[in-house]
Amino acid sequence: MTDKAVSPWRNLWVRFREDRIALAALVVVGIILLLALFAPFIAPQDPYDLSGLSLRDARRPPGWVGSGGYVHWLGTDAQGRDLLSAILYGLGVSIQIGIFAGAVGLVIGTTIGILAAYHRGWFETVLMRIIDLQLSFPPILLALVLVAALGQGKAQLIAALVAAQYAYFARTAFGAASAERSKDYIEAARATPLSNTRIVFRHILPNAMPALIVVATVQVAYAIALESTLSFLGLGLPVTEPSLGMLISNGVKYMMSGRYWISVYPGIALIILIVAINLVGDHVRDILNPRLNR
Amino acid sequence: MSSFLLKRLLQGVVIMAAMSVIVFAGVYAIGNPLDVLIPPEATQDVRERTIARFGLDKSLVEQYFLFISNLLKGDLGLSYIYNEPVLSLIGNRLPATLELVLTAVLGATLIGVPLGIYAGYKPHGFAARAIMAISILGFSVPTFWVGLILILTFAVSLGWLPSGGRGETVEFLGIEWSVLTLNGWSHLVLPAINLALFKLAIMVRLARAGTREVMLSDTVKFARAAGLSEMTILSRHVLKLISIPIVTVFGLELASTLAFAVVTETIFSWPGVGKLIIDSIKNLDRPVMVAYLILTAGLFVTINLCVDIAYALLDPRLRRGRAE
Amino acid sequence: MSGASPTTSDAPILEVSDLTTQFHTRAGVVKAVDGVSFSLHKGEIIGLVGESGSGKSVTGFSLIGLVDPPGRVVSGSVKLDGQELVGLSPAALRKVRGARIAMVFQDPMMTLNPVLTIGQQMQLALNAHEKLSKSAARARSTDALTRVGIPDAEARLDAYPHQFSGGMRQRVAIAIALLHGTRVIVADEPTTALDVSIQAQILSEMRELAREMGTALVWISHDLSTVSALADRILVMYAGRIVEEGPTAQVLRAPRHPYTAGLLRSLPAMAEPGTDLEQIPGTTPSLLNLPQGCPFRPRCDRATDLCSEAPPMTPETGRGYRCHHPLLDGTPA
Repeated sequence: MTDKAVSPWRNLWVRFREDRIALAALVVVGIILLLALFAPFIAPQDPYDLSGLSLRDARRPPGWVGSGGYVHWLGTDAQGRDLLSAILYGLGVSIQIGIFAGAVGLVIGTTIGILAAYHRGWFETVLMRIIDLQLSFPPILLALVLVAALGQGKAQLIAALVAAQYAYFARTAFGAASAERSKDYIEAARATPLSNTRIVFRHILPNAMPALIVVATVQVAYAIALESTLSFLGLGLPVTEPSLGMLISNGVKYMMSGRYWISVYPGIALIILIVAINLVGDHVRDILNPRLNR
Repeated sequence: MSSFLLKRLLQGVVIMAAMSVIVFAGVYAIGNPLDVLIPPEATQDVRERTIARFGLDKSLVEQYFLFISNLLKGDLGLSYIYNEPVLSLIGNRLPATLELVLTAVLGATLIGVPLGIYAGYKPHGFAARAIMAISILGFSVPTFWVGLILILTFAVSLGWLPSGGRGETVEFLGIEWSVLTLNGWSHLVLPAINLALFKLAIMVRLARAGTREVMLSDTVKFARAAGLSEMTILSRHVLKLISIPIVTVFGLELASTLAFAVVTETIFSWPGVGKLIIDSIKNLDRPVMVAYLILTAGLFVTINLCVDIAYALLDPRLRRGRAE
Repeated sequence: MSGASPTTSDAPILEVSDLTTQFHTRAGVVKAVDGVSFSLHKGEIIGLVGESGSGKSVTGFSLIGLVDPPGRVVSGSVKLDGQELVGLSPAALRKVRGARIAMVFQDPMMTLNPVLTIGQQMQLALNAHEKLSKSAARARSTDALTRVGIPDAEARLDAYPHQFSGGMRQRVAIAIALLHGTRVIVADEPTTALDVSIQAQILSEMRELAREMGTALVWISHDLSTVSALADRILVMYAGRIVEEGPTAQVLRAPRHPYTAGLLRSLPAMAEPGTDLEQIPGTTPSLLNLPQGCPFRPRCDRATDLCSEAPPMTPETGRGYRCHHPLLDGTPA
């Protein structure tokens, strides 16, 4: 079983395909990515171009034909923005932040985790103690305080998200790497003049990768949710480039008066995105769990 | 056992000391409190007096030790915004938060664990799949969004429940409680559900994963071979075996729910500490931020300690041995 | 042919005929147990021997109706005291399990619940079949523990499994299996995880208990030497089938099937002094795609074209084998 048998990635894909829900979720994620990527070509309106907005179109219900001469299928927001366009652009902003935060967290966390696993002794102890301490602290608080400290902006927000999340990657990488490290062949490889980098990149990293991928999917989804939460609390991005969270937040005050669509549609988009990513991650985790594969 | 506890207690003190330094230095880096404290039209004289009153003329290290020595005396300083002692500011709001958090986490556990056990017992059945789908939803959908939908549905559309506030409270042991009045409950229900949903998802997953593993174990096979009914196996063997990770997570979640209450309290205008901390972050009210963060860290350490004790009580293998 | 059991010749307690258990997996149908038949009399001990993957454990689980999905007993019959167990409802099976047929597993560390006391676990097993007061349950448990040789049993009821040694833990498991005066115990490698000296001790105690209480034993093991010290009769299993059966002495002295002979030659105690231990060449075939005909054919040095047709069991009861080219030059049976 533990032989280097057929490519593990192929095997993963074969087993992934079997679950229809997960496969559908993957397709949904793909479609959303395409929609976000091509938003400028699909969206009927450029929501960032304030000169193209008319207040006469503000807070109109879905199906309203605006002054632009086209139908606002999902209605308009308080500035008279076409909500469909705003959502398509907002998806892009949310995804960008999620992926950036996930990727940077992955690199930093993995580096720390592998370093700790590779250099045993006090270095490992101190590093992992810090990581554990941080893991027990709720990420949302950390992100809140950091956003307040760093100020508003995309880079600052990503930095706050990374700081709140990197520890999960570090824990996972550390676990996988130290399990791998104690195996005989790594001991043997260390005794030969093979460079450490080679051992890490050829042996340790590939073995830690599947678990890290699962954490990465979950963390991207979490980063998107966290960003929208921060934006909702008024601590996220500047208003000029509204993410989904910001769109929702902007609509809240009109919700009580029955103009639900301003908040609800961006919210639905957000949920579909996060649920789809989590479904994919969840199924991959099930496949990779060796304890259920007897 | 007692030496083990002592060791953990010591660890907690060290962690708290470290946290206080980090939090203090971290919050110190945020903005310039003078902009908050002193109106631009104030005279030089007023400026200097205010600076001196809040000890802002001293160095960071001096301020820190002043803060610590005051802290040990039970004084957490004055809020910049409310001009009130931070301790009473937080103390007045903490019961509301604790009430909300405890209701949410207890509810999530009492409902989530049985659902999770069932889903783990029959992992391929329809009900199990439905439970898992709901749990993924609870796991994925941001708390603030669920809160909005709850308000939209139950307060705005149906008009069944109030959309915010704490309702009538009754004093018990010197603290005001909403759980003791019907009206209080009607106010508590929505925010508690809102806060509980994410925890419910976690509990379901945890119980399901644990049950799936235990069901495959020889312990269960042996119990079945002895003729135990499935109900007895689940309620006596499985529940006891999976209770250890569940208690751990219960503790951790209790602590992190305190943090998450920030969002729910904002949406439902629940007069707890969460709302206070958001306002203090927005207004750069340093003393409140520092006190809140240190308090949260303190709660974390305490809860972790309790979890360790519960661990030792639940797992007989640890009662001795772990003492070292 | 005389009756199989040395003690009695009444109707068997357990009668298994043509038992077939299959696992329907992604990769295909695994025939884990393929037409197994045998009978067991009161107080008799049968040794079911085979390599891992031969289907012997699945046979054990099939007997008590506890095959894990995707496995399923597809045909055949298991009669306990004349009552058919195959096809019984789960609730009816549960009433039989633990009361009239019980099972003991390999590693007691894994089978006993680490977070319940021995007393609690015994009480659960007792209450599964009888309504007993707490004190009555304690008394019964104490008796059962004393019977399997656990000293100071009363006090030990409040101990947890980890406070027992390996051998003591297995005794506890056996005591639980014996709580209801069980007629048949299926023991799946119960001593494999133990030290050799403790193994021997438990073996002799089990033998004595079986005689004393009239309990019949199906002792499943990969280790022919353990079984030979204990069993009245031996069944040798290969690739889901019984390939040879007979009274222990006869099977050991004069194996008919080349596989049994190979197993015997690989035992240290059986080897000629000064010679190397022999290993059977090749490995156990995957139960997923068995070779045509005799499944042992690829590993057998006596195989001929004839072996591409599966050999039937020889017709005599009590002493039989499945081989076209049996070893008949030994001492006659």
